[in-house]
Amino acid sequence: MSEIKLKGYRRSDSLFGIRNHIVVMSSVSCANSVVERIAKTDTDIIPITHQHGCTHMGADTEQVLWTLSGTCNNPNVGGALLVGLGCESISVNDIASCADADGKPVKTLVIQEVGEIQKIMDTARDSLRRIKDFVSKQQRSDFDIRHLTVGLECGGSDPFSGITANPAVGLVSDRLVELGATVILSEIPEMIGAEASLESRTPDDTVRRRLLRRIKDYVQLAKDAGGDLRGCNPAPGNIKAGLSTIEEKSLGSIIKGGCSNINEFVEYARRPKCKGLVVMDTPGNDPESVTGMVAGGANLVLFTTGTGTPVGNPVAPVIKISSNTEMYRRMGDFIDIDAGEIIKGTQVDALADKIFEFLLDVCNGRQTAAEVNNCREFAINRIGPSF
Amino acid sequence: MDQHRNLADYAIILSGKDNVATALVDLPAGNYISSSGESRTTITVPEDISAGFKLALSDIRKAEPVYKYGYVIGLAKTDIKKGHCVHVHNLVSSI
Repeated sequence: MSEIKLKGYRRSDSLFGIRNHIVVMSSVSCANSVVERIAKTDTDIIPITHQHGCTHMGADTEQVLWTLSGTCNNPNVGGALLVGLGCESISVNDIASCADADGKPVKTLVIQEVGEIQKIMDTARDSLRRIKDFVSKQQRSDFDIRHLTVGLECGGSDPFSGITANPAVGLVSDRLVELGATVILSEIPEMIGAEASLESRTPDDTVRRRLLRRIKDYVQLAKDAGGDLRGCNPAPGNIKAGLSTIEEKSLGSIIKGGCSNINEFVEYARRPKCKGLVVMDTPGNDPESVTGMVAGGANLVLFTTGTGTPVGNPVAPVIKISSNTEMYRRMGDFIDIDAGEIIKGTQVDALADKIFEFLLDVCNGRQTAAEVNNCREFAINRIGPSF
Repeated sequence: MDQHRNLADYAIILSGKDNVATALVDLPAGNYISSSGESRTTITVPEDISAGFKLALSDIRKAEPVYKYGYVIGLAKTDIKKGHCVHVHNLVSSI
């Protein structure tokens, strides 16, 4: 059924990257400055740092490990240098052992073992040269669009999000699903109040139960935290723009998933097993949600916004779609496509075609606004405290 | 009196089930005609409504559900008259 071919970097029979990035990643926050120093020596190298990697436990440790290894495993990554301290709970070897499954070069460097800064820089340079030698020989080759994974995100919703940008992205989502690709809908707290719509198109009992359970969990989490979703979501900015209730916000938000059936409920940062539309368990926090989907293998993210945001990702292109033209004019160089045109009479399906064509171009190498601006947010969703 | 404007030029009704419309542009106070298939209704909007905000398409009684996108987005906190703005002052989440 699928006819669309893209040009990407082959990682396996069913995994293709649309970028060939080399990343330098810290396994623990103690290694962040060293990672930044290494990345400064070469602008082609993408640094990934974070606040975690030690003093967490159980499922939380697993979640951090999955996110770090999943990010290295993302098909857009051609090679990685992992920098650890040496005494942390998530070691570079833990990440490497999960991350080198596709045969991509993954090197490690442990600060306490190598010693002084100059030795560290020399070792890093040597490792990166080897990785670059390998990666630079790779060429783009044809792959079918069904091997593509696309994440969906919205941030800073306004009342137009559910009328312009999200319905247009919803049509793109349905089209990708029809073509056999994988689409990830996320942000569970922004499904509160939209259960009836989600339920009706989740045929599998287990998937439906898990999804509804998780939405309920978030309502309870807010109550346990001493809060009430009525006070914090919709956020004051949403309310000022005209959104009245969480139900209204959620119903407008889930439209970006189109009307396909939901085939799977996947944990944060885990790779979906099913094709078609799947839901990932992420929070509404944009960088955390995008990081989770990209660690789960998303090649790129379609990101709709009403109030405007620069948020990108270190390894996946993020395509920014504005819901209104006023914001697009104000924040133009952060935005790729203006869906506000729909207010002035452009048909939703015409705008969807425009997004789809842009998406194909981005897959084949065109840079998004977030890439041009080096917007590379990386944030891990933690589920436990640090000790 | 002023002429009747066409509501569809100013606002969108997202589902046939909905009892609110969302203003796409700033919607001045005045009289509007809302057409749906064969039926035409007149709606008097007493106050300007800003783009993005909602107006009632019919009288909604206190505690009755408010529909947008064909689904319930909350319950009326007070009686809401046709043509009036529907927002946090008269609409509450049912979660």
